[in-house]
Amino acid sequence: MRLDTTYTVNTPEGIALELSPAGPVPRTLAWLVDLMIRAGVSLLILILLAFLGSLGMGLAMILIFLLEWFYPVWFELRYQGQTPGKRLLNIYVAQLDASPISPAASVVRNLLRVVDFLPFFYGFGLASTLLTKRFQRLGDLAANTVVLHKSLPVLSQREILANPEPANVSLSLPEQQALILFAQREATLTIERQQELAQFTESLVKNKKDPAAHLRSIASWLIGKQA
Amino acid sequence: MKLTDLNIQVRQRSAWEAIDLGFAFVQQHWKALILPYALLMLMLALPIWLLLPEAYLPIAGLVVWWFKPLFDRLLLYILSRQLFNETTSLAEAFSALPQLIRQTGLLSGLTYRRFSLSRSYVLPIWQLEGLRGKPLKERKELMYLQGHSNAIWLTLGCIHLEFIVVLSLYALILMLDPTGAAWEHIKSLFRGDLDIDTQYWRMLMDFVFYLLAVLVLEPFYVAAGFMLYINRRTQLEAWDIEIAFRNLGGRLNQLAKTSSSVLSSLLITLVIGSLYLSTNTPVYAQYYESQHEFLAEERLTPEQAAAKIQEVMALDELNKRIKVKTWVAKNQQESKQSNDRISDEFIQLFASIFKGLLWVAVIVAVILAIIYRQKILAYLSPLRKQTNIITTPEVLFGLDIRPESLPDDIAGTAHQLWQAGKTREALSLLYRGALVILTHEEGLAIQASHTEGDILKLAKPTTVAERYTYLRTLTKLWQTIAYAHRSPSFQEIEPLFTGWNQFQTPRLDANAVEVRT
Repeated sequence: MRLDTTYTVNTPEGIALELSPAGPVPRTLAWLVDLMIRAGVSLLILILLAFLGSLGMGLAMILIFLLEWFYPVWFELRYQGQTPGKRLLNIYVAQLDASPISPAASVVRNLLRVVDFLPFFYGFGLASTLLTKRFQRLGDLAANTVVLHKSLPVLSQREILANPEPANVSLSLPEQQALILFAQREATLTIERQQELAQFTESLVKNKKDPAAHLRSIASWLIGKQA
Repeated sequence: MKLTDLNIQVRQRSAWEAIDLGFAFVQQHWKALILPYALLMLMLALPIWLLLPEAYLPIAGLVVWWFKPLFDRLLLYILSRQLFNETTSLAEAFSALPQLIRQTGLLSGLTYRRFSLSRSYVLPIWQLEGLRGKPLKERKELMYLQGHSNAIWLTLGCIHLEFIVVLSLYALILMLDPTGAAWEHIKSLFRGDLDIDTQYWRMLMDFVFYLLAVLVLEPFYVAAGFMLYINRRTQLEAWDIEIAFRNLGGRLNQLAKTSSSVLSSLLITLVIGSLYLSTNTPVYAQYYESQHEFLAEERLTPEQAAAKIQEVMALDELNKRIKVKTWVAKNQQESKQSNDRISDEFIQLFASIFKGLLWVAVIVAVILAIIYRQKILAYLSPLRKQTNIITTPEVLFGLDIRPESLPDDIAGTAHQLWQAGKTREALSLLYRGALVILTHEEGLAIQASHTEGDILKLAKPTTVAERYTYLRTLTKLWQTIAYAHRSPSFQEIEPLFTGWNQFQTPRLDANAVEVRT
């Protein structure tokens, strides 16, 4: 079994979903962004309400309290598990099976920040993320949630323009996918590297003048292009 | 370097996922790293602590920080071997050390490159690729095109994490130290009045905390930078495709060998085609079984599943009984009485107030009722029957059921068709006639999606009994001929002709009116 950060969830339909949990570094950075936003808003509240004297201070304290505790809950429930910081880093909170986070779970994981925060600035939270396989902090473990990477479309994918040509052997699905990826990533690879890669398929490109072009033709055929 | 021996899943990843893979890699292989790394750190930290003049002891941590690139090189050496499942013994790691010091650009790494923020990302180019001069510069430029900003953020993030570990350790001591000495020490750190003699042990604490933070986080940092590097190489050189193609090439070679041996045996036995296929398929089948993984791997037979459920249900968590003890006040009745005594007057007061309010409410309600009597009476008048908004379809399962499409004398025409041998047309006509009556007169909400059975069900509660029985017989015969292509006998169909008028009668007048309009 080769190491990967992903884990698999099987849906009732028998489809295996691959989920990719986010580790301590992106999570710390997202948290720092959120901290900056909260600090800015708190400062603004303090400045504006300072004009109201001690009543204003009291109000400001209440508002800052609410901001500090319910900022993540509100964003997680309202914006598909993403606070602004998480949005910036393309990560989101979800239940362990990737279903949307439930209100109860969101409240639990954010109230338990108190525990993760101990002994100082998320010491226990860091220890927990470094020790668990899915990088969960204690609040996540209690609420059965996980922070996941949002999968992005791969940018290097281009349309395959080669003339379709059938392969002379039957290919398994992973092999077909590799061939299609090879053709799609034409622009990111040097021509020498493409020929070198094509040679690895051995008998598939035997006696071909331009092995890479032949593989692209097969890929074109695999995605269903008509001659 | 054989890419197929890599023990990580090589695929296209985002830079952040690559960093996380580095963390996961250390999680899995920390045992291989910790001993050589901790020993090297101890070998460096101990002399520093012992040799530094006492006045300079507060900067001992800084000195260790300065030597981090040395630790990085040892860590990367072990990690890069671990990536191909080669474990490094303590002796191997230390015998590689002189070479790591001399040939990995350590000198520049400890001087002007010490402040590079992407240190762990470029270290593999120095150490594993061994490039120098112009090729190194070009390589770096190529690598920096993507992933460089992530590498910088990785360093910044890890600096924060290091602070978190150090501060948490302090906080832990503060929580657990009743003497307050730790707190005094932290205060004096900020006041700048450290007393070297009395605070020797406290400074040692600072030093050890910092060492622990570096000990914990540096492997993660180096591994994350290394995986970022691997990810960039995968992007540039399509390592994932190389692995897939090598596997493909290997499989095709094997396939060629097996099929040629099969072919030769075929030539001997002179068996053709089908046998060739049948002997050849197992090779494919085995291969595909091992490769296809989109469906869940675990499949239990029903018996196994049942056994598993039994096993789970027998767990302690599902069968545990616990005793709960709670505190109950001893003199419950006494306190109740005293409560009653206090509230008596209040209850009286509240009761009289609410009584008064209720009377006021009643009077107001009566006045309002008189003012708004018309609106209230309007509510009591019977509701108008809701108009049926469902438009009746014109075609039901291929039958035209517009009233205009039917002849005046349905039963007669049907009988004629029957005598002419057109049983199907006769029954169809009768059934269509029945449907027209149901939709247009009985107001049955038949929709285009309904089947014959649905209509029968729909009609049951609203139509009279005789009509329903007729409809049931008709539907049955119609279904028999329409779908089973079995013609009914005359005894079966005859009551339909004779019963038609009765079926039609209750609404005969209405029908006549409709036809005329």
